[in-house]
Amino acid sequence: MTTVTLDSISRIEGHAKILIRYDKGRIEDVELKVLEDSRFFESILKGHKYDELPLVASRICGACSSAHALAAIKAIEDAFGIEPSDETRMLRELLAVGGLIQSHVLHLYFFVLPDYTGYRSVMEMAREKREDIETALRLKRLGHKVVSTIGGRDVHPVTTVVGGFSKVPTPEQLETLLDDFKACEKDSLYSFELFSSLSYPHFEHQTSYYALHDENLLGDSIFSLTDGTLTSFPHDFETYLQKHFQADSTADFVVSKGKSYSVGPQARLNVCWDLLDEKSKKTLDLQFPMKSPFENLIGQAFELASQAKRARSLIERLLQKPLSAQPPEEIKPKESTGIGVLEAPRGLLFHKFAFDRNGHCTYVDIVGPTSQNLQTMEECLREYLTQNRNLPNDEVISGIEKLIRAFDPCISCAVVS
Amino acid sequence: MKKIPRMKETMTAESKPTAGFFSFTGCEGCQITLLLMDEITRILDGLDVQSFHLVKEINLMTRFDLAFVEGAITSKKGIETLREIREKSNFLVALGTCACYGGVPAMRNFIQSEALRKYTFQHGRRPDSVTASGIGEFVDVDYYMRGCPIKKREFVDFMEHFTKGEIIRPFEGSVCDQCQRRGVDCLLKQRIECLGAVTHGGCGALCPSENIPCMLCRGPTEKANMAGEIKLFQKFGLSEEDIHNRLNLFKNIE
Repeated sequence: MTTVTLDSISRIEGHAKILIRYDKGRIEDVELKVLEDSRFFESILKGHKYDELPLVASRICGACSSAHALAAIKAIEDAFGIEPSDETRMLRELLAVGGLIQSHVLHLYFFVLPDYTGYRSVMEMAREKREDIETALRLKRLGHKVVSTIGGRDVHPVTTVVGGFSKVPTPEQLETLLDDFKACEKDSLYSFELFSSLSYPHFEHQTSYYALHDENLLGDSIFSLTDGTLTSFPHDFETYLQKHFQADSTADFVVSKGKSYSVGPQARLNVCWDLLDEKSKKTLDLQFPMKSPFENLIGQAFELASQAKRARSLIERLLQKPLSAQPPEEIKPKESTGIGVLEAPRGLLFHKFAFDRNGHCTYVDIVGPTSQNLQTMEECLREYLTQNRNLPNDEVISGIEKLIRAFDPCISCAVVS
Repeated sequence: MKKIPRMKETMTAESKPTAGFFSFTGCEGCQITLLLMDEITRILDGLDVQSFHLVKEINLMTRFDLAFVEGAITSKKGIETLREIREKSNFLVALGTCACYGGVPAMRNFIQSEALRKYTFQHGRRPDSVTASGIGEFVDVDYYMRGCPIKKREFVDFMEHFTKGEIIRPFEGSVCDQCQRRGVDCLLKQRIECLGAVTHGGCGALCPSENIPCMLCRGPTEKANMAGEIKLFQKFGLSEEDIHNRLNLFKNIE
C-alpha cells in the first residue's frame, strides 16, 4: 500500500492535509491531517484578569472573532452573576448576525462557489461571474458595516466588554444599517436561490445534530439534540461532550458520550425545524431532517436571509428609544465558575472559565464548532469513499475536497488546547 | 521614497508583480481582513498571485516580487518554510502583529515549561515546537505591517505605492499622538490603564476612541518609556502580575 499526501487543502480556514492510501492504484483510505501547530489558548488565558479574556479569546479565530469574544463575555457574566440589559442583548445579537454574514459570505462565494462553477479561485471566477461577485461584495460590505458599527472594527471587535458596550451606535448609524439591510434583501434571496440550485454530490450521512433551540444565535440556555432529547443546558457540559486527542494531531476532537455528532447551519435548521414558519419550510424545500453535509451550504445561504430579517427587527426595536451608552455597571469578581454558549457561524461554541475571588482566571475549557465536527468529517470521508469507489481517483479527490469544504471547517478554531 | 527594482526572473514586458500570501501560527484574522476589504478583488487582480492558500487551489513556491507572511513562527518546520519564502522573495512583508512580534501566540512563552511540555509532548503532538516569535527573528523583513489585525488603510496605501515601485513610510508616532489629534478624552487621566503612550500609532487610536484602553497590539515605539508606564500602573493599584500580563498580550516585553 502506498501513501500519498495531498498538498494542504486550499480554500479552508487554517492548515490541514488529506492523506490518501492507494492499493494497486486504487484509493483505499483517506484521512484528514491537521497541520496547525498547538496554540495553548487554554493555558495562556489562565492567570489573566477577567477583562482581558474576551480580547485574547477573540484571537482564537479571525473568521469568527465576534463569536469568541461574546462567548467569553457570556461566561464571565454567568460567573459573576451579571445580567446584561435588553439593549446590550440586542446589540450583541446584531453583532453576532454581522459576524455570521461576514463568515458565510466569504465561505460561500470565495471558498465554495469556485468548486461548482469550474474555477480554481475567486480571482478567476471574478472576471467572468460578475453578478455573483457583485452580490458577494455587497453582502460582505453589509457584514462589515454591521460588525464595525456595533463592534468598532470588523475583525476582533473592541467595544464589546463584560457588562455591555464601551460605546453604542448613534440613531443615525442604526438608520443607515437598516437601509443597508433593506438594500441587501435581494442579494440574500439571490444567494439562497444560487446555492439551492447548485448540483452537489449525492451523499448522506446518519448522525446526531446539536444546536441551540432558538433563532437567536445567542439564545437562551436551551440546547437540543435531534435524537429527541431537549435539555436545559447544564453547567457541566463536559458530562455530555468529551474532548479527546489523537496521536499525531494537534486538534481537539469532541464527541458526545463516545459518538460523533454535527453542529453548524444544517444542525441549526434540523434542531430548529419546529420554529420555522410554513413559508420558510416551503422555501427551503428540503427533506427534514437533512442528512447531507452539503445542505450546510444551503443552510448558510438560508441564514443570510433569515438572520438579516431578525437583524432588521432588532434595529427597529433599538431605534424605539435612545441608547443609553451607560458604561457597564461596577463589576464585582468572585470565586466562581461560568459558561457561555452560543451559535458561532460554524456552530455551537462553549467557553467555560473559573475565577478566584479577585477575578483572575484559574480554569479554561473552550469547545469550538470545528472540534465537534472533526469526527463526523472523518467518518463522512470514509463513507464517501466507500460509496464512490467506482469513480476515477481524481473525481474522488475532488469530491472529498468539496465534502470537507461543505463543513466550513476552521482548523485554527479546532486547535485551541 | 525608496524605489524597489522588480525581480528579473519574474519580469516580462507587461507582467504584473508575482505575489504570495503565507500563513503560520495565528488566527488568520489579517488574511480575513484582506478578504473583507472592498478593494481586495481589484488589488488581487493587479497582482500575479502564485500562492494564497485561503483562496487558491493551485499554489506554487516560485519567485515572488512580493510576499506577505502572516502568523508567528512556532515550530522548526515553520522556520524552514519561512527561510525558503525569504530566499524566493524580493520584498517580504510581515503581515500583522503575530508576524511582527509573535503576537498572542507568543503568550505561550510564559506558560510554565512543565505545562507546555504536557501539552506539546503528550499524545505525540508536534515535538518540534520552538519559542514562539515574529518572523524577524529568523529572516530579514522589508516592511512591518503592524496591528492585530492590520489596518486596512495601511494595506491599501502600501499596495497603491508598491505597484508604482515605491514603499510607504509607516506612521512613526505613538497611539497617544493620534489620540490627542482626534481629541479623545485621555483614558490615563481617568486612571484607566491605557498603553497608547508607548505603542506604535498608525491605527488612528481606534481603541481609545471607542473608550477602550490601548493594549499595545502594534508593539512598543523606539522611544517607549516602559518603566514610567509600569510605575504609573502600580500607582493605579495594579499588581506586578497584572502589569506583566497586560504588557505581554501581543509581544514578549520582559
